[in-house]
Amino acid sequence: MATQVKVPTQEAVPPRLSMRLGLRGWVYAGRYPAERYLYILHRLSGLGLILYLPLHVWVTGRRLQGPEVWQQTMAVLSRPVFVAGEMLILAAFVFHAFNGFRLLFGHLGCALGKPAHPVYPYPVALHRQRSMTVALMVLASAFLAFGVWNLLTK
Amino acid sequence: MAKLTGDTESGVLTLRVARYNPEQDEAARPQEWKVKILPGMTVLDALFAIKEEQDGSLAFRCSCRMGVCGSCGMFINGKPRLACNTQVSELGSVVEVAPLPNHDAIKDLVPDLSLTFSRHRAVLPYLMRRDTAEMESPTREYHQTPEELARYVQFTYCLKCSLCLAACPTAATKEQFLGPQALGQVYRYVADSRDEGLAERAGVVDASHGVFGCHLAGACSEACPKGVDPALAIQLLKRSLFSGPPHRSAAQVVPAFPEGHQTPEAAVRPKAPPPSV
Amino acid sequence: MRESRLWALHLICGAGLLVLLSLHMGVMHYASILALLGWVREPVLSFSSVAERGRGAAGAVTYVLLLGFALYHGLYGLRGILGEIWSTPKAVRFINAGVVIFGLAVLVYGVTVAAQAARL
Repeated sequence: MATQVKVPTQEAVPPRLSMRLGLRGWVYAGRYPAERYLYILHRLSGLGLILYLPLHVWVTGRRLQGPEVWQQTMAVLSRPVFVAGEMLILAAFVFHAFNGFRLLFGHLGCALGKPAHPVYPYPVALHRQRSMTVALMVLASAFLAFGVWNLLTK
Repeated sequence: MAKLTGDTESGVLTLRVARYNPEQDEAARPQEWKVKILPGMTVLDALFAIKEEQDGSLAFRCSCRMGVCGSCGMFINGKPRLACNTQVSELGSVVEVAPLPNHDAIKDLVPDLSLTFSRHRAVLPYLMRRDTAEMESPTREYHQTPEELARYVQFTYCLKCSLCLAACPTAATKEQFLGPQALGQVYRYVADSRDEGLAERAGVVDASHGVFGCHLAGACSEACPKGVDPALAIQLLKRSLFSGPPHRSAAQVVPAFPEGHQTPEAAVRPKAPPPSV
Repeated sequence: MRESRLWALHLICGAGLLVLLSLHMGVMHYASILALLGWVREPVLSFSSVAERGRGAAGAVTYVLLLGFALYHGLYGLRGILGEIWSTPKAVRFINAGVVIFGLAVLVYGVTVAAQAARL
């Protein structure tokens, strides 16, 4: 007697709940340490700088139209709102440059230490460059403070 | 040791769990329970206490209860952690538990890890040799020094628990990103002196959804419960794509012994007496 | 082109920017140090100073290099960020094309300005 084999029918997969964080996952660093926050600032400052670059190229190109146009342009740019904007751009540049210096090393696997047998409490490679990170951020703050002072006393 | 705060001193813990039942819910719904704290209680123990004494419908995945299998990854008080590896005494009087971010939740705290596993398979996670005959049917083992082992052994501890993917900001928006787990495992094999598969794996990971999707935020390494440090592995992998693997040449097979050779053990071991019957 | 090459160029441009842009910012924003050292006499933004810096082949080449580095480094970064938000193949093609066209347009304008300024 032939046994009847019951073929299981393919049931519809029940809906899943997507927990993908989206942009919130970029900007919310929660309980992660400094490097995770530097990642956010690096993105924001980079975005600011690349949006500023074409404007800057256009503004500085106005010098071709002679000294009068240049003086007018500079007079417009000395309004407080533009000076404030310039300070933001300066801050973005100083931070992006100093943090970029750190990332340049990190991305090439330098200043991160060597892999080893993991022993509890487990080391995290990025912590090994913490002193460099702190030193770079202190330097960045000093340069920024001086740059702002220079802008205000111009 | 973390200080006990609030209600934990009185011995009661409030667990706020993001629940999801695919047959009823469109979004996660929070539910709260109170649990009596026992010495050495982990979040997993607390979830078991709820399931056994208060609400049998609560779903979560676990197996070993000792941080080895990687099944019970959850989002606990703002960080992805293994529930079995997290003492409630570290967390304060209110513990918020949700399914792993950047994954799909199947039900309650059960994440769908199938994408993690398929990405892991996609990066060819096994030793590859140019000599395919020896690779497919090996005759002898390969030489490897302790120093060569130390270059990759850290990365072999990966549980595939997917906590790193839950922590990764790139994975938060880009579904195609291979993620810290798979990329870390690429370096685990690339750095193995017995492996010769860098070129083939480069074909998979040399892409913006591969190794160059990592921007060194370092969250994966903070989340990893086994000290695998995927961020370190990924940066070393980037370097390897330009300058080759950390070993100069692939390990050779152990040479065959000359005929009639006896291993030192066999030479010393006394011969068994002949059977007496 | 393989992503690793594009990425390496991003790093090289970043390193180049560290040098050239630091020089540029040093002149523009840290002029009081330079003035103390007696290297700068006139205000850095007066028309004669601005025209002086861009004059000659060396000035023009420096400005064009600086612009090239900054555009490549910045637009590669922008492409990465946009590609992480919209990552369908169609969106990626659109982003790549947009970034290349935009970069070339700004570069061409910048080179024209630098070439004309060199003769001011």
